[in-house]
Amino acid sequence: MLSNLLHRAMALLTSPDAETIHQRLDEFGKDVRRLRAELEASRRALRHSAGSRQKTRSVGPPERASYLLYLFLVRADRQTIPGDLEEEFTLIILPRFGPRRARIWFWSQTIKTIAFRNLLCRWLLVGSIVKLAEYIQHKVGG
Amino acid sequence: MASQMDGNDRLGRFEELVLLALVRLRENAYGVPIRREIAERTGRDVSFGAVYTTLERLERKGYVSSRVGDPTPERGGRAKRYFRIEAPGITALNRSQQAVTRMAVGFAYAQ
Repeated sequence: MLSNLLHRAMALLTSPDAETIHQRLDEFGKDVRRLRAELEASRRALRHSAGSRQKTRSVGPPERASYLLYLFLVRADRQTIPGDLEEEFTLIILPRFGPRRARIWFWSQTIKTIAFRNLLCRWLLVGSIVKLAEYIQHKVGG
Repeated sequence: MASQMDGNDRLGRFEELVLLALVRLRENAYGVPIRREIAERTGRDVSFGAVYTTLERLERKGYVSSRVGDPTPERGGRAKRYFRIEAPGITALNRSQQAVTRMAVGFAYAQ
């Protein structure tokens, strides 16, 4: 594109009459505008790709889920279980499934883990299942 | 007393899977590989909560022991907890496997 412009500029300097000069000046102007638009587009594409790369790099486990783990796990589990979850999230799940599914995976693991490891949550879960079974039995039995 | 001990010592299906994962992983047995080993070999998606609850129960029975490793950056600076199967665990696992084998004898002819 740039060499094409130079070629046109040289032709402009060696033009025989005024009309041809005007015609070539118009073409030259069009080429300059096209070149400027292409430059702007490539600059935008570069900026976009740099931004998305930065976004991918900064994807981490959901902070709220990590905070829930911290709140509901006993002290002995606070190091190991969140560490395991974060390791699997970063090294296996995120590269294989992408950020959206990885975050869903992290949330589901967080809820299951809390349900298993927190005694109060387990009681609530078992209690609600028993209550539901009683309710169904009451409804079905009349 | 002995027969009561034997009765209490029976392993659950998931306990067996966890112990077998420990045997396979040897020195590298901590949460992530244990969960992945079970998930990949059995097709069951198990949670870390289930794995750790089972490991804790096995540790109380004296079948496994654990130690805390060094923290690593990919875990957000948190430490790993390594597990190891102990001799009573191996005995219990063998007994459990033998029981299943004995129960399965003759199945090939019963079609």
